[in-house]
Amino acid sequence: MIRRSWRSLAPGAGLGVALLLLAQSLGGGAAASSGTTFTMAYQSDVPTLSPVNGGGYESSQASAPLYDGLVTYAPTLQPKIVPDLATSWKVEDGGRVYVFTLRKGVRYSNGDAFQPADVIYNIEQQLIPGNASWAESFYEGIAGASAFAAGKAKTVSGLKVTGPNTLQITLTQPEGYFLSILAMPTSYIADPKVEQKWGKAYQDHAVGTGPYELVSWTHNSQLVEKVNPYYWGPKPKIAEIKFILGPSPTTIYDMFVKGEVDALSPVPSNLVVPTQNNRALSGEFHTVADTGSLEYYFMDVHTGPFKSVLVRQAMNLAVNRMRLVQLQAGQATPANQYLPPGYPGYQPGLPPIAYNPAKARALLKQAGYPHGFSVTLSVNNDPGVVQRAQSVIANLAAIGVKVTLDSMSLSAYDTALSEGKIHFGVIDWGMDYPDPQDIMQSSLTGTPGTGDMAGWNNAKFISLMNRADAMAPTQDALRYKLYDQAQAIALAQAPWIPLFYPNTTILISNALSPSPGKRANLGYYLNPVLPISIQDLSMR
Amino acid sequence: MQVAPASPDAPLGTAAASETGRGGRAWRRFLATGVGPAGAAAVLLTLLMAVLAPQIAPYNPLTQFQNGLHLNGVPFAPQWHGPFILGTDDLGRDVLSRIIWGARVSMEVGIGATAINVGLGVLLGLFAATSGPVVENAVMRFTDMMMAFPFYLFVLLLVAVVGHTSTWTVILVLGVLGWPAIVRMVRGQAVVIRELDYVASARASGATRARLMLRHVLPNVLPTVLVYGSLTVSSNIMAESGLSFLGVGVPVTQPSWGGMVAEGLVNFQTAPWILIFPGIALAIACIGFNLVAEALADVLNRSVG
Repeated sequence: MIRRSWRSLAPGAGLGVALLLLAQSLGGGAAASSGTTFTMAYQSDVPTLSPVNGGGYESSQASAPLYDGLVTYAPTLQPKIVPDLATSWKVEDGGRVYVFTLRKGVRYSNGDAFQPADVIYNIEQQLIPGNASWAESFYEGIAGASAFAAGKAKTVSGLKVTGPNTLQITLTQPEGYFLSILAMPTSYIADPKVEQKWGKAYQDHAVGTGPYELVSWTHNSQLVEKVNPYYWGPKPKIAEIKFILGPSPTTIYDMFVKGEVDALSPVPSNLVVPTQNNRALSGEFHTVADTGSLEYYFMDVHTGPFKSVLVRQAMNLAVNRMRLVQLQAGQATPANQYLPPGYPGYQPGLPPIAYNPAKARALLKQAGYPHGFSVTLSVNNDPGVVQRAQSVIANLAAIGVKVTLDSMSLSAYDTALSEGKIHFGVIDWGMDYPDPQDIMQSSLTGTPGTGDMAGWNNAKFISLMNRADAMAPTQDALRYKLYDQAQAIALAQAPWIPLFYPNTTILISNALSPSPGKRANLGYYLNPVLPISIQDLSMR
Repeated sequence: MQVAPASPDAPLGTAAASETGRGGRAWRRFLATGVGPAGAAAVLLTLLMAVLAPQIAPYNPLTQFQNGLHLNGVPFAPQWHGPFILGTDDLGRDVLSRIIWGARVSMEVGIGATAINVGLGVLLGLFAATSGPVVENAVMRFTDMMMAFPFYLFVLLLVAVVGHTSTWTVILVLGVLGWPAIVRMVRGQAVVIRELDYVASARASGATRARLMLRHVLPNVLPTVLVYGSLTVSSNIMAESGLSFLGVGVPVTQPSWGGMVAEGLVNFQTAPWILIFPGIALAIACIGFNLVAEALADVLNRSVG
């Protein structure tokens, strides 16, 4: 999904680092949690605690403790779907029908009883046009979803409560990744009564069935959560979660060094080297590659010089990707395709995209721009993003393209993106679910409002995507070949400038990690789509 | 040490600039102040950097050198014998060249905005002083209101309205917001001067307001305006660097000392020189103008008093 800012972790996509407590977690529900607080800090306010339009980095990390979905991911390296609010499920009719048996006796943090119909209500919220959820397309595979979204039906025909605690979901065609969609933060189940009561103000009163409940949220200042007394699962060891909102990335780093923050990710590029050189910190620093993440610039194929495929190809040849990797202290890999490593279907054999300014200039001349042209690049004001933009701008200046940089706050940028106002901008993508369809379908088909920022609509590409999407999970090998062909078209038509695949870097406090020399009773595991699983943590 | 009259409304003295005697004496007095020449040297250095930037900067300030960073992305530290005397910044650009070119922005904005401040301030102050009590009061109360308004808030508001910033918008914004202090000072002096015998007699013999303003009041106000002007250049340089630091000054792609300070802050742990050198440059420029103002005040007060 589109990460609103360059934060490569977790929520909805990206990497999360979680600590497994061996002895204590096996025992489950051991001694009551002491007054321990797990603290994180973000540069900007948490955008939302509502599952609708959730999924951003900060939103997911803050939402995950509050909610459950039907299913979730096990804390293992390979993403593996495990029960959450659904205790078991059956897949029938060749992958078109899912029958979920739901957990009994679950309560929301305000005491309300959880009902199967609540799942239907929450999915409908994703489809209602007025809610403008970026994730709407993920649920359109459900039978009747499109009709409901278009206002032609009052309910979604594919969602049915079939018993006191069973729910049936019918799809229009098999989707191998459907369970992964149900594990996304946009599929969290919120209390419908609370949503109906508060409407647009719901997120300040967010209520879910998760291990924690919302205590308070002072926007741009602090967000606090504490253990949910009604939680159905093992009681978390950490009593309280605090998010400090507003400090700059450098300040957050300082806070971690002082022990005021327990985990931070990503580590700002310019601080990676001092961290690695600092004996006290280097043991707390972890970096992982191949996490299904990509930073790219999109070019609106309907405006000005970007209408020409030659111009778009020239832009790709002009950028020095190795330099961008160098600016991040080597914590990235140059990009050569739109599907990042970490996704099944990534093609390791593809050649790198060349850095060839001379050829770029020749292409521009061929396209009718011998003297180049002027364009505005819009970015959010994350210092790393701005720094890399300046490097790319210098590259483009060398081929005659004069770029004006327009940087704005994260929320202003998000808003401008969703309104389709940005014609040349940056996107930081993180994995939603481990399937090529995730990025290719949502970001290269549709409209800027639904994620196709370049407005690129290629008939052949779309038909290949549709054929692939309709194939059952058992035909994955063949299906990936179709995605390969589709991607070849995209790369040739170049609506994007893929820049690099960032590593996920994280600093996590030793109080939460195994101390050296002790027999490891804590383990690290990495999951591309989970935020830090705070309910599994304990603090020394 | 008092650099200007204790309050803008305090009397300046009894003599006009034309009575300082020959320029030579004033110059010698200026030299004798000690701080004067020091300040003037700093100002001259900054001006030279600004004017001669293309000639004296070792490199293009925008060039991001391939070999301007270590392999792990860390910028080069200052090296007297190396290719980058003051080191490089986090994009591999030469810090020394950027400091030299940054003087342009500081001087353009500092002097440009001050010119507008002084122009508006003198005009308005003289106008107020030579008007009837009602108009004078209105102007002065309006000035008080403008002075009370929080500066940076006002600037951010204006910038939001104007949209994209450039050197010219910064000059305009600072120019339009900085006149209140000068108005008060000019009007205060003008009020005293207009009561002087020869001015009063000119008024009595029917001199027009314009003649009064230009022939009699203005020449007497100018010395103090000069001192204030020098101080204002200093504060406008600081204001511009503050705006660039906040990201609403000159575009990020143009080298400016304030912008360099902002960049330096982010990189302080790995490359403190990115912050230190523009900071020193700002200090030298501003202290220079302040010292010149101090020396001028000494010279003019003494020759006048």
